[in-house]
Amino acid sequence: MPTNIYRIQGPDETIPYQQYLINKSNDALVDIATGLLKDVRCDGRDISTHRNLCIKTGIVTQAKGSAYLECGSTKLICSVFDPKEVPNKVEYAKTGELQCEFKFATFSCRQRRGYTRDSEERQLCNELRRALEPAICRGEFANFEIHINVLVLENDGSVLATAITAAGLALMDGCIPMYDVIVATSLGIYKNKILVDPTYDEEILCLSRADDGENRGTVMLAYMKNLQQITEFAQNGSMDVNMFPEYVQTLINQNCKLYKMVISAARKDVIEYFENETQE
Amino acid sequence: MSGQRLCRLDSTHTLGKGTYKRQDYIYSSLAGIVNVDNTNNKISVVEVRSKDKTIVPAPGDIVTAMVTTLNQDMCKCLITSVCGHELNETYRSSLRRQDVRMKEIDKIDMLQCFRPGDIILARILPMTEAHTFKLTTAENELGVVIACSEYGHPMTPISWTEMKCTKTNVVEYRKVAKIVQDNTGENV
Repeated sequence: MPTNIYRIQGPDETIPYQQYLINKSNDALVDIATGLLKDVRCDGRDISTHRNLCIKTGIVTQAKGSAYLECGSTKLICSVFDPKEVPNKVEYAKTGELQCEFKFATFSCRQRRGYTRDSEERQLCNELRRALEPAICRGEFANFEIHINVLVLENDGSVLATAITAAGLALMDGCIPMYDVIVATSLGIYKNKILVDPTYDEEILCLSRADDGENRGTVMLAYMKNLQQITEFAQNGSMDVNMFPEYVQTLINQNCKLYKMVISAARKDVIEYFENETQE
Repeated sequence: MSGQRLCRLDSTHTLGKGTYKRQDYIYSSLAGIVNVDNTNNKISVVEVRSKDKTIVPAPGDIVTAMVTTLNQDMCKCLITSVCGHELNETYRSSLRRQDVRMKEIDKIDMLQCFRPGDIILARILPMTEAHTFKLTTAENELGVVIACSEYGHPMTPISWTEMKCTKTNVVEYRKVAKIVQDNTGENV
Protein backbone atom coordinates (compact mmCIF):
# COMPACT_ATOMS: atom_id res chain seq x y z
CA MET A 1 0.00 0.00 0.00
CA PRO A 2 1.42 3.40 -0.89
CA THR A 3 1.91 5.39 2.25
CA ASN A 4 1.82 9.08 2.73
CA ILE A 5 5.06 10.21 4.30
CA TYR A 6 3.45 13.36 5.66
CA ARG A 7 1.20 11.39 7.93
CA ILE A 8 2.50 9.96 11.15
CA GLN A 9 2.70 6.23 10.70
CA GLY A 10 3.65 5.31 14.24
CA PRO A 11 6.76 3.42 15.28
CA ASP A 12 7.92 0.50 13.17
CA GLU A 13 7.62 -2.22 15.76
CA THR A 14 4.00 -1.94 16.72
CA ILE A 15 1.36 -4.58 17.04
CA PRO A 16 -2.25 -3.62 16.42
CA TYR A 17 -4.16 -3.86 19.65
CA GLN A 18 -6.73 -6.07 17.96
CA GLN A 19 -4.20 -8.88 18.17
CA TYR A 20 -4.71 -8.98 21.91
CA LEU A 21 -8.46 -9.08 21.53
CA ILE A 22 -8.67 -12.10 19.25
CA ASN A 23 -9.54 -14.45 22.09
CA LYS A 24 -12.15 -12.07 23.37
CA SER A 25 -13.77 -11.58 19.97
CA ASN A 26 -13.75 -15.31 19.40
CA ASP A 27 -15.61 -15.74 22.66
CA ALA A 28 -18.14 -13.18 21.51
CA LEU A 29 -18.64 -15.02 18.24
CA VAL A 30 -19.20 -18.28 20.08
CA ASP A 31 -21.78 -16.52 22.23
CA ILE A 32 -23.61 -15.29 19.14
CA ALA A 33 -23.46 -18.74 17.56
CA THR A 34 -24.95 -20.45 20.59
CA GLY A 35 -27.58 -17.75 20.78
CA LEU A 36 -28.51 -18.26 17.15
CA LEU A 37 -29.09 -21.93 17.66
CA LYS A 38 -31.78 -20.91 20.12
CA ASP A 39 -33.13 -18.33 17.63
CA VAL A 40 -31.93 -15.45 19.78
CA ARG A 41 -29.91 -12.68 18.20
CA CYS A 42 -27.30 -10.64 20.00
CA ASP A 43 -29.27 -7.40 19.70
CA GLY A 44 -32.54 -8.94 20.78
CA ARG A 45 -34.13 -8.83 17.36
CA ASP A 46 -36.28 -11.49 15.83
CA ILE A 47 -34.42 -13.60 13.31
CA SER A 48 -36.31 -12.11 10.38
CA THR A 49 -36.57 -8.48 11.43
CA HIS A 50 -34.75 -5.65 9.77
CA ARG A 51 -32.97 -3.13 11.94
CA ASN A 52 -34.55 0.26 12.42
CA LEU A 53 -33.88 2.83 9.76
CA CYS A 54 -33.22 6.54 9.97
CA ILE A 55 -33.60 8.31 6.63
CA LYS A 56 -32.68 11.89 5.93
CA THR A 57 -32.34 13.41 2.48
CA GLY A 58 -30.77 16.58 1.18
CA ILE A 59 -28.05 16.89 3.79
CA VAL A 60 -25.10 17.57 1.49
CA THR A 61 -25.78 21.06 0.19
CA GLN A 62 -23.10 20.95 -2.49
CA ALA A 63 -24.54 17.85 -4.09
CA LYS A 64 -27.57 17.66 -6.32
CA GLY A 65 -29.09 14.97 -4.20
CA SER A 66 -27.99 13.27 -1.04
CA ALA A 67 -29.20 10.89 1.60
CA TYR A 68 -28.09 9.85 5.04
CA LEU A 69 -29.13 6.40 6.04
CA GLU A 70 -28.78 4.76 9.37
CA CYS A 71 -29.57 1.10 9.69
CA GLY A 72 -28.95 0.06 13.26
CA SER A 73 -25.44 1.36 13.77
CA THR A 74 -24.46 1.17 10.12
CA LYS A 75 -24.32 4.79 9.06
CA LEU A 76 -23.54 6.15 5.66
CA ILE A 77 -23.92 9.19 3.44
CA CYS A 78 -24.59 9.02 -0.27
CA SER A 79 -24.38 12.02 -2.56
CA VAL A 80 -25.23 12.36 -6.23
CA PHE A 81 -23.91 15.02 -8.57
CA ASP A 82 -25.04 16.58 -11.83
CA PRO A 83 -24.27 14.97 -15.16
CA LYS A 84 -20.75 15.88 -16.12
CA GLU A 85 -18.82 15.66 -19.33
CA VAL A 86 -16.65 12.61 -19.56
CA PRO A 87 -13.05 13.78 -19.83
CA ASN A 88 -10.79 12.30 -22.53
CA LYS A 89 -13.54 10.60 -24.39
CA VAL A 90 -13.46 10.06 -28.11
CA GLU A 91 -16.54 8.24 -29.29
CA TYR A 92 -20.16 9.05 -28.67
CA ALA A 93 -22.04 6.92 -26.15
CA LYS A 94 -25.79 6.49 -26.35
CA THR A 95 -26.30 5.94 -22.65
CA GLY A 96 -24.89 7.86 -19.76
CA GLU A 97 -22.34 6.39 -17.44
CA LEU A 98 -22.27 5.99 -13.71
CA GLN A 99 -19.18 6.83 -11.79
CA CYS A 100 -19.34 5.39 -8.30
CA GLU A 101 -17.07 5.90 -5.39
CA PHE A 102 -17.38 3.78 -2.31
CA LYS A 103 -15.32 4.87 0.66
CA PHE A 104 -15.04 3.67 4.20
CA ALA A 105 -14.16 6.48 6.55
CA THR A 106 -10.89 5.71 8.29
CA PHE A 107 -12.67 5.41 11.62
CA SER A 108 -15.64 3.43 10.32
CA CYS A 109 -14.49 -0.10 11.02
CA ARG A 110 -13.01 -1.98 13.96
CA GLN A 111 -9.64 -1.85 12.32
CA ARG A 112 -8.54 1.53 11.04
CA ARG A 113 -8.91 1.95 7.30
CA GLY A 114 -6.39 3.48 4.95
CA TYR A 115 -6.92 6.70 3.05
CA THR A 116 -6.34 5.08 -0.31
CA ARG A 117 -8.85 2.86 -2.01
CA ASP A 118 -8.41 -0.79 -1.24
CA SER A 119 -9.68 -3.84 -3.07
CA GLU A 120 -12.78 -4.28 -0.92
CA GLU A 121 -13.89 -0.74 -1.64
CA ARG A 122 -13.26 -1.25 -5.33
CA GLN A 123 -15.32 -4.43 -5.28
CA LEU A 124 -18.21 -2.78 -3.43
CA CYS A 125 -18.04 0.17 -5.80
CA ASN A 126 -18.44 -2.12 -8.82
CA GLU A 127 -21.35 -3.93 -7.20
CA LEU A 128 -23.02 -0.63 -6.38
CA ARG A 129 -22.64 0.54 -9.97
CA ARG A 130 -24.04 -2.68 -11.37
CA ALA A 131 -27.00 -2.47 -9.01
CA LEU A 132 -27.87 1.11 -9.92
CA GLU A 133 -27.31 1.07 -13.67
CA PRO A 134 -30.57 -0.66 -14.62
CA ALA A 135 -32.60 1.66 -12.43
CA ILE A 136 -31.51 4.97 -13.95
CA CYS A 137 -32.90 6.26 -17.24
CA ARG A 138 -29.46 6.53 -18.73
CA GLY A 139 -30.77 7.41 -22.17
CA GLU A 140 -31.78 10.84 -20.92
CA PHE A 141 -28.26 12.03 -20.38
CA ALA A 142 -26.39 10.39 -23.21
CA ASN A 143 -22.66 10.91 -23.29
CA PHE A 144 -22.48 12.22 -19.74
CA GLU A 145 -21.57 10.65 -16.46
CA ILE A 146 -23.20 10.91 -13.06
CA HIS A 147 -21.06 10.77 -9.97
CA ILE A 148 -22.31 8.85 -6.97
CA ASN A 149 -20.25 8.97 -3.81
CA VAL A 150 -20.85 6.77 -0.81
CA LEU A 151 -19.08 7.41 2.46
CA VAL A 152 -19.48 4.86 5.21
CA LEU A 153 -19.30 6.49 8.62
CA GLU A 154 -19.81 3.37 10.65
CA ASN A 155 -19.72 -0.18 9.45
CA ASP A 156 -21.95 -2.55 11.37
CA GLY A 157 -22.80 -5.07 8.70
CA SER A 158 -24.92 -5.02 5.51
CA VAL A 159 -22.98 -2.02 4.16
CA LEU A 160 -23.60 -2.72 0.51
CA ALA A 161 -27.34 -3.22 0.91
CA THR A 162 -27.62 -0.02 2.95
CA ALA A 163 -25.50 1.83 0.40
CA ILE A 164 -27.74 0.77 -2.49
CA THR A 165 -30.88 1.86 -0.64
CA ALA A 166 -29.24 5.17 0.24
CA ALA A 167 -28.12 5.70 -3.34
CA GLY A 168 -31.68 5.10 -4.53
CA LEU A 169 -32.91 7.75 -2.11
CA ALA A 170 -30.18 10.19 -3.09
CA LEU A 171 -30.96 9.75 -6.78
CA MET A 172 -34.61 10.41 -6.05
CA ASP A 173 -33.68 13.48 -4.02
CA GLY A 174 -31.52 14.72 -6.88
CA CYS A 175 -34.44 14.32 -9.32
CA ILE A 176 -32.50 12.07 -11.62
CA PRO A 177 -34.92 10.14 -13.81
CA MET A 178 -35.23 6.55 -12.64
CA TYR A 179 -37.29 3.63 -13.78
CA ASP A 180 -38.05 2.59 -10.24
CA VAL A 181 -37.08 3.04 -6.63
CA ILE A 182 -34.32 0.64 -5.75
CA VAL A 183 -33.89 -1.06 -2.39
CA ALA A 184 -31.58 -3.79 -1.20
CA THR A 185 -31.34 -6.16 1.75
CA SER A 186 -28.78 -8.70 2.81
CA LEU A 187 -29.05 -12.02 4.55
CA GLY A 188 -26.62 -13.91 6.69
CA ILE A 189 -26.73 -17.68 6.45
CA TYR A 190 -25.50 -19.72 9.38
CA LYS A 191 -26.31 -23.41 9.64
CA ASN A 192 -29.65 -23.14 7.83
CA LYS A 193 -30.64 -20.15 9.91
CA ILE A 194 -31.51 -17.13 7.78
CA LEU A 195 -30.58 -13.89 9.48
CA VAL A 196 -32.09 -10.80 7.93
CA ASP A 197 -29.86 -7.73 7.90
CA PRO A 198 -26.85 -9.19 9.75
CA THR A 199 -24.67 -7.04 11.97
CA TYR A 200 -20.89 -6.92 11.63
CA ASP A 201 -20.35 -9.69 14.17
CA GLU A 202 -22.96 -11.88 12.57
CA GLU A 203 -21.38 -11.27 9.17
CA ILE A 204 -17.98 -12.35 10.50
CA LEU A 205 -19.57 -15.43 11.98
CA CYS A 206 -21.36 -16.25 8.73
CA LEU A 207 -18.19 -15.77 6.71
CA SER A 208 -16.02 -17.85 9.02
CA ARG A 209 -14.78 -21.08 7.53
CA ALA A 210 -17.13 -24.03 7.55
CA ASP A 211 -15.48 -27.40 7.66
CA ASP A 212 -18.34 -29.82 7.33
CA GLY A 213 -19.98 -28.46 4.20
CA GLU A 214 -22.73 -26.62 6.01
CA ASN A 215 -24.30 -23.47 4.61
CA ARG A 216 -22.49 -20.36 5.61
CA GLY A 217 -22.26 -16.98 3.97
CA THR A 218 -24.05 -13.79 3.09
CA VAL A 219 -26.32 -12.95 0.18
CA MET A 220 -27.40 -9.52 -0.96
CA LEU A 221 -30.15 -8.65 -3.40
CA ALA A 222 -31.13 -5.31 -4.94
CA TYR A 223 -34.68 -5.18 -6.18
CA MET A 224 -37.04 -2.89 -8.05
CA LYS A 225 -40.49 -3.57 -6.70
CA ASN A 226 -42.74 -2.12 -9.37
CA LEU A 227 -40.82 -3.61 -12.25
CA GLN A 228 -40.22 -6.81 -10.30
CA GLN A 229 -36.64 -6.88 -11.42
CA ILE A 230 -33.57 -7.99 -9.56
CA THR A 231 -30.75 -5.64 -10.43
CA GLU A 232 -27.94 -7.17 -8.45
CA PHE A 233 -27.31 -10.34 -6.54
CA ALA A 234 -24.17 -10.89 -4.53
CA GLN A 235 -23.21 -14.01 -2.66
CA ASN A 236 -20.34 -14.70 -0.35
CA GLY A 237 -19.43 -17.96 1.31
CA SER A 238 -20.50 -21.50 0.50
CA MET A 239 -24.09 -22.63 0.43
CA ASP A 240 -26.33 -25.17 -1.19
CA VAL A 241 -27.76 -24.23 -4.58
CA ASN A 242 -31.15 -25.70 -3.68
CA MET A 243 -31.52 -23.21 -0.89
CA PHE A 244 -31.34 -20.20 -3.22
CA PRO A 245 -35.05 -19.94 -4.09
CA GLU A 246 -35.81 -19.68 -0.39
CA TYR A 247 -33.16 -17.01 0.13
CA VAL A 248 -34.32 -14.99 -2.86
CA GLN A 249 -37.94 -15.16 -1.73
CA THR A 250 -37.02 -14.00 1.77
CA LEU A 251 -34.98 -11.16 0.32
CA ILE A 252 -37.77 -10.06 -2.00
CA ASN A 253 -40.27 -10.04 0.87
CA GLN A 254 -37.87 -8.00 2.99
CA ASN A 255 -37.27 -5.60 0.11
CA CYS A 256 -41.00 -5.03 -0.28
CA LYS A 257 -41.19 -4.05 3.39
CA LEU A 258 -38.19 -1.79 2.99
CA TYR A 259 -39.69 -0.26 -0.14
CA LYS A 260 -42.71 0.92 1.81
CA MET A 261 -40.50 2.68 4.34
CA VAL A 262 -38.35 4.31 1.66
CA ILE A 263 -41.40 5.43 -0.27
CA SER A 264 -43.05 6.96 2.76
CA ALA A 265 -39.87 8.90 3.56
CA ALA A 266 -39.58 10.13 -0.02
CA ARG A 267 -43.25 11.06 -0.13
CA LYS A 268 -42.86 13.11 3.03
CA ASP A 269 -39.98 15.03 1.42
CA VAL A 270 -42.00 15.81 -1.69
CA ILE A 271 -45.03 16.95 0.31
CA GLU A 272 -42.84 19.12 2.53
CA TYR A 273 -41.19 20.72 -0.47
CA PHE A 274 -44.43 21.54 -2.27
CA GLU A 275 -46.03 22.86 0.91
CA ASN A 276 -43.11 25.24 1.40
CA GLU A 277 -43.36 26.30 -2.20
CA THR A 278 -47.05 27.15 -2.01
CA GLN A 279 -46.46 29.16 1.15
CA GLU A 280 -43.87 31.27 -0.64
CA MET B 1 -42.74 8.35 -6.96
CA SER B 2 -40.37 6.84 -9.46
CA GLY B 3 -41.72 3.67 -10.95
CA GLN B 4 -45.30 4.34 -10.03
CA ARG B 5 -47.87 3.56 -12.67
CA LEU B 6 -49.82 6.69 -13.51
CA CYS B 7 -52.30 5.83 -16.23
CA ARG B 8 -52.80 4.12 -19.55
CA LEU B 9 -51.01 5.43 -22.58
CA ASP B 10 -53.70 5.90 -25.22
CA SER B 11 -54.86 8.43 -27.78
CA THR B 12 -55.97 10.91 -25.10
CA HIS B 13 -52.93 10.74 -22.82
CA THR B 14 -49.37 11.35 -23.83
CA LEU B 15 -46.00 11.41 -22.13
CA GLY B 16 -44.79 14.59 -20.49
CA LYS B 17 -41.69 15.39 -18.53
CA GLY B 18 -40.65 13.01 -15.79
CA THR B 19 -42.48 10.03 -17.20
CA TYR B 20 -41.68 7.00 -19.27
CA LYS B 21 -43.78 4.35 -20.93
CA ARG B 22 -43.72 0.62 -20.49
CA GLN B 23 -46.22 -1.78 -21.95
CA ASP B 24 -48.96 0.75 -22.75
CA TYR B 25 -48.81 2.43 -19.37
CA ILE B 26 -47.32 5.72 -18.26
CA TYR B 27 -44.92 5.41 -15.35
CA SER B 28 -43.31 8.15 -13.33
CA SER B 29 -39.55 8.50 -13.37
CA LEU B 30 -39.26 11.26 -10.77
CA ALA B 31 -40.58 11.94 -7.30
CA GLY B 32 -43.00 14.82 -7.48
CA ILE B 33 -46.56 15.90 -8.14
CA VAL B 34 -48.56 14.67 -11.10
CA ASN B 35 -49.83 17.41 -13.33
CA VAL B 36 -52.25 16.74 -16.16
CA ASP B 37 -52.18 19.45 -18.78
CA ASN B 38 -55.47 19.79 -20.64
CA THR B 39 -54.71 22.91 -22.67
CA ASN B 40 -54.85 20.97 -25.89
CA ASN B 41 -58.38 19.65 -25.55
CA LYS B 42 -57.78 16.45 -27.46
CA ILE B 43 -54.63 15.13 -25.88
CA SER B 44 -53.76 15.65 -22.24
CA VAL B 45 -50.11 15.62 -21.29
CA VAL B 46 -49.29 13.73 -18.13
CA GLU B 47 -46.17 15.07 -16.46
CA VAL B 48 -44.53 14.87 -13.07
CA ARG B 49 -43.34 18.09 -11.53
CA SER B 50 -40.45 17.69 -9.15
CA LYS B 51 -38.42 20.10 -7.10
CA ASP B 52 -35.48 20.19 -9.44
CA LYS B 53 -34.71 19.25 -12.99
CA THR B 54 -31.89 17.30 -14.49
CA ILE B 55 -31.25 18.89 -17.83
CA VAL B 56 -28.47 18.34 -20.26
CA PRO B 57 -28.19 20.39 -23.44
CA ALA B 58 -29.76 18.66 -26.42
CA PRO B 59 -29.67 19.51 -30.13
CA GLY B 60 -32.11 22.26 -31.04
CA ASP B 61 -32.11 23.91 -27.62
CA ILE B 62 -31.38 27.60 -27.25
CA VAL B 63 -28.57 28.01 -24.76
CA THR B 64 -26.77 30.83 -23.04
CA ALA B 65 -23.03 30.52 -23.24
CA MET B 66 -19.96 32.50 -22.32
CA VAL B 67 -17.14 32.89 -24.81
CA THR B 68 -13.87 31.73 -23.33
CA THR B 69 -11.30 31.53 -26.11
CA LEU B 70 -11.27 32.82 -29.62
CA ASN B 71 -9.29 32.14 -32.79
CA GLN B 72 -9.69 32.69 -36.53
CA ASP B 73 -11.76 29.58 -37.19
CA MET B 74 -13.84 29.01 -34.09
CA CYS B 75 -14.47 30.11 -30.57
CA LYS B 76 -14.92 28.00 -27.50
CA CYS B 77 -17.78 28.61 -25.11
CA LEU B 78 -19.12 27.36 -21.82
CA ILE B 79 -22.83 26.64 -21.74
CA THR B 80 -24.34 28.08 -18.57
CA SER B 81 -28.06 27.64 -19.08
CA VAL B 82 -30.46 25.76 -21.33
CA CYS B 83 -33.88 27.09 -22.36
CA GLY B 84 -33.90 29.53 -19.45
CA HIS B 85 -33.03 26.86 -16.91
CA GLU B 86 -29.77 27.54 -15.18
CA LEU B 87 -27.34 24.66 -14.96
CA ASN B 88 -25.15 23.79 -12.02
CA GLU B 89 -22.49 22.47 -14.31
CA THR B 90 -21.01 24.17 -17.34
CA TYR B 91 -20.56 22.25 -20.55
CA ARG B 92 -17.92 22.92 -23.15
CA SER B 93 -19.02 23.81 -26.64
CA SER B 94 -17.60 25.37 -29.75
CA LEU B 95 -18.86 27.73 -32.42
CA ARG B 96 -17.30 27.49 -35.83
CA ARG B 97 -16.76 30.41 -38.18
CA GLN B 98 -19.26 29.22 -40.78
CA ASP B 99 -22.03 29.07 -38.17
CA VAL B 100 -21.76 32.66 -36.99
CA ARG B 101 -24.25 34.19 -39.44
CA MET B 102 -26.35 33.23 -42.39
CA LYS B 103 -24.96 35.47 -45.12
CA GLU B 104 -21.48 36.36 -46.32
CA ILE B 105 -19.88 33.47 -44.54
CA ASP B 106 -16.55 34.03 -46.34
CA LYS B 107 -16.18 37.55 -45.05
CA ILE B 108 -16.61 36.73 -41.38
CA ASP B 109 -13.82 37.82 -39.11
CA MET B 110 -14.25 36.11 -35.77
CA LEU B 111 -12.59 39.00 -33.95
CA GLN B 112 -15.31 41.29 -35.25
CA CYS B 113 -18.06 39.03 -33.98
CA PHE B 114 -17.13 37.93 -30.48
CA ARG B 115 -14.71 38.66 -27.69
CA PRO B 116 -13.86 36.51 -24.70
CA GLY B 117 -16.24 37.19 -21.85
CA ASP B 118 -19.26 37.91 -24.06
CA ILE B 119 -22.54 36.28 -23.17
CA ILE B 120 -24.17 34.84 -26.26
CA LEU B 121 -27.41 33.16 -27.14
CA ALA B 122 -26.98 30.24 -29.48
CA ARG B 123 -28.70 27.15 -30.75
CA ILE B 124 -27.19 23.69 -30.49
CA LEU B 125 -26.55 21.96 -33.79
CA PRO B 126 -27.25 18.26 -34.22
CA MET B 127 -24.43 16.22 -32.75
CA THR B 128 -21.95 14.84 -35.21
CA GLU B 129 -19.16 12.52 -34.25
CA ALA B 130 -17.35 14.60 -31.68
CA HIS B 131 -18.56 14.84 -28.12
CA THR B 132 -18.50 18.61 -27.73
CA PHE B 133 -21.58 20.59 -28.58
CA LYS B 134 -21.56 22.61 -31.78
CA LEU B 135 -23.34 25.94 -31.57
CA THR B 136 -24.75 28.23 -34.20
CA THR B 137 -25.75 31.88 -34.09
CA ALA B 138 -26.99 31.97 -37.68
CA GLU B 139 -30.32 33.54 -36.77
CA ASN B 140 -31.27 37.15 -36.21
CA GLU B 141 -32.31 36.48 -32.64
CA LEU B 142 -29.04 34.77 -31.76
CA GLY B 143 -25.70 36.35 -31.02
CA VAL B 144 -24.11 38.54 -28.39
CA VAL B 145 -26.49 39.73 -25.66
CA ILE B 146 -24.21 41.08 -22.97
CA ALA B 147 -20.76 42.39 -23.70
CA CYS B 148 -18.19 44.68 -22.14
CA SER B 149 -15.96 47.05 -24.05
CA GLU B 150 -12.19 47.04 -23.90
CA TYR B 151 -12.33 49.39 -20.96
CA GLY B 152 -14.64 47.13 -19.02
CA HIS B 153 -17.90 49.01 -19.32
CA PRO B 154 -21.13 47.44 -20.50
CA MET B 155 -22.16 48.12 -24.07
CA THR B 156 -25.48 48.65 -25.76
CA PRO B 157 -26.27 47.52 -29.29
CA ILE B 158 -26.63 50.18 -31.95
CA SER B 159 -26.91 48.01 -35.05
CA TRP B 160 -26.70 44.31 -35.82
CA THR B 161 -22.92 44.47 -36.15
CA GLU B 162 -21.98 47.19 -33.72
CA MET B 163 -22.20 47.89 -30.03
CA LYS B 164 -21.45 51.11 -28.24
CA CYS B 165 -19.86 51.51 -24.86
CA THR B 166 -22.01 53.28 -22.31
CA LYS B 167 -19.11 55.16 -20.72
CA THR B 168 -16.54 55.84 -23.40
CA ASN B 169 -18.81 55.76 -26.47
CA VAL B 170 -16.34 53.58 -28.31
CA VAL B 171 -17.99 51.49 -31.02
CA GLU B 172 -16.96 47.86 -31.18
CA TYR B 173 -17.97 45.16 -33.62
CA ARG B 174 -20.08 42.23 -32.51
CA LYS B 175 -22.60 39.78 -33.97
CA VAL B 176 -25.46 41.31 -32.06
CA ALA B 177 -28.60 39.39 -31.20
CA LYS B 178 -31.92 41.02 -31.97
CA ILE B 179 -33.50 40.74 -28.56
CA VAL B 180 -37.02 39.41 -28.72
CA GLN B 181 -39.18 39.52 -25.66
CA ASP B 182 -40.41 36.20 -24.42
CA ASN B 183 -37.26 34.52 -25.59
CA THR B 184 -36.78 31.48 -23.41
CA GLY B 185 -33.06 31.89 -23.02
CA GLU B 186 -33.19 35.53 -22.08
CA ASN B 187 -33.73 35.57 -18.35
CA VAL B 188 -30.06 35.24 -17.49
